[in-house]
Amino acid sequence: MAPPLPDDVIPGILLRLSPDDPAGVVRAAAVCKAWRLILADPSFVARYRALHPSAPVLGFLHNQSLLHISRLVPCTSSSFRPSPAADHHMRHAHDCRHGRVLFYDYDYRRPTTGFAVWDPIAGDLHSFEPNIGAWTQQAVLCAAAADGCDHRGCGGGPFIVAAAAMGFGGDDVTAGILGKSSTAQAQFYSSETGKWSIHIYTDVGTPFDLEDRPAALVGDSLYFVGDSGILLRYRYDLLRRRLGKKDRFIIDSDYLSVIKPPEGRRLGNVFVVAAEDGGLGLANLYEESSRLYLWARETVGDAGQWVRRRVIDLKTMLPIRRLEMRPCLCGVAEDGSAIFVSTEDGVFAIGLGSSSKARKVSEVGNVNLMYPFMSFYTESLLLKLAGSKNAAPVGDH
Amino acid sequence: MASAGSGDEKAAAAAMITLISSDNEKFEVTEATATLSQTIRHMIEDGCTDGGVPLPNVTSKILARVIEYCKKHATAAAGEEGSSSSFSDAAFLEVDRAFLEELEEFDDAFLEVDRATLFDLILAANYLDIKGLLNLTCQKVADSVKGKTPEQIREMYNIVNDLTPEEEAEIRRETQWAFE
Repeated sequence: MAPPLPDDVIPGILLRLSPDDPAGVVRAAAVCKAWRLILADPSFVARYRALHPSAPVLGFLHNQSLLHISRLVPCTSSSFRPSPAADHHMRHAHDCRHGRVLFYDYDYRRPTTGFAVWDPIAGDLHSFEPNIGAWTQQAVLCAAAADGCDHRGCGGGPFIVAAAAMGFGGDDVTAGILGKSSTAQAQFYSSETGKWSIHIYTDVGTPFDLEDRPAALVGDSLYFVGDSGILLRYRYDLLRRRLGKKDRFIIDSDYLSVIKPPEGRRLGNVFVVAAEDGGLGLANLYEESSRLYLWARETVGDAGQWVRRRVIDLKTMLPIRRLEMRPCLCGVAEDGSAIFVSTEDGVFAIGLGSSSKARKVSEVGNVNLMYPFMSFYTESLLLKLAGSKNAAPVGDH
Repeated sequence: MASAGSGDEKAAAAAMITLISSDNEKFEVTEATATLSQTIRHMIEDGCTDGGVPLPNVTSKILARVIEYCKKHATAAAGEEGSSSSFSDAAFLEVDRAFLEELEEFDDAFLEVDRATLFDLILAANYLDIKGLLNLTCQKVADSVKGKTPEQIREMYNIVNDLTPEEEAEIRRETQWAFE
């Protein structure tokens, strides 16, 4: 017979139930009265939060274009299951941040085609008309992101969708020219006003094209990534504040500018990263050597420069069976805590903290691009437990 | 703090602490090993370690294991302080990685104990306030319930279900998704 668990050790154990296992918390609350009381204690949520300060990756969005499906694939370690369903037909995921997914909806049978922002926890879907074409790059984010929102309960709240493109082309882009160009353009949609902002156009000098990669949010700016690591900086929040004022004289280049890539060897397979320390970073993978390079933007006087911070040799970390099947970068965690590498055998998360460990998150192999879905869902279940009168867990599902 | 090497025996001896288990066994450990415990660190800071530190809540069997853990991790902490914090060099990363792997192997082997010992280790880590050990041991138990149903968890840990059938039905009704 197993010895009974001493009462004093139970809170320490329950605190370490994994944040990526929401079902685990609910099942633990159904074990006995003592466990349920511990989990439902408001001070427990505070301690849980302190021990697990960042949102875990519960799954990732993956477009299966041939099937016309965008799928939210839960991570192998996570018990999270999206609501109401994981598969979105005739929708294409373009971004995921702050618990929200941005789709382009191209099903003509639906009353509206255009953008839709989905909350996979509550299941809410908010549709709105696109203003510039879906082939540009977009980013979705919480409207209070620049005001220090911690995104612990903002899921149903206001959001911003920013869109950027290279080339001329205004409200009717079908008549415009997009591609390698020295003209950058951007605008944003606010769910609070239900409107798109004015267009910003800037001549950025060097012609380039935007890559189909997620943008990074650092401070009040979004960074879109172009050819070989050139970045397009869009100060959407500064513009938003400016537009709210009476004096609306706008100098476009104040809001849209370019950051040149690191000098030297041309970067390939590059992602922009919102680094954990709050700075701007780049990650690139040289496919022939399977070496992952991490760069940080540092300010020297008035000028910024790229500094190579780390090199991670993926060959020693990942089970790469055949050399010709090279791993490739396929996504970045929005808080810069991990980068995702796709191989034949599945997707691996590589921690970017002090210990860079590889952990398999999906069996789906050869993924070009994925959008990690991060959420404090488990913590919010604990909050509900603490909040309910009879301390019974309540779920949205 | 005194350096462990060279002939400076006096300084090294000054940095030794005596820990006394509940069954009155004495353990001599270095200050670096002992101060992994916040409880003992505070005692040293307050200058109340002369004549040994009595630990009435910890048996000699458990204390020996705790000291084994602290010795290994104190060495690891010293190694980390000594090395550069820059990660710019791939060769350095290799060394760092080998070191972390060795520590992980040690931790895995350390956890190969029966359940009663594991619980005693948690209680000792809690009392002595050794963050790493508490985390390691609690995580082991938390991982063991992952993916298990409430019935399986009760069976594993000999827990009596004292929820009323109504309470249980309510949980299952409202969060059915977690039980599927």
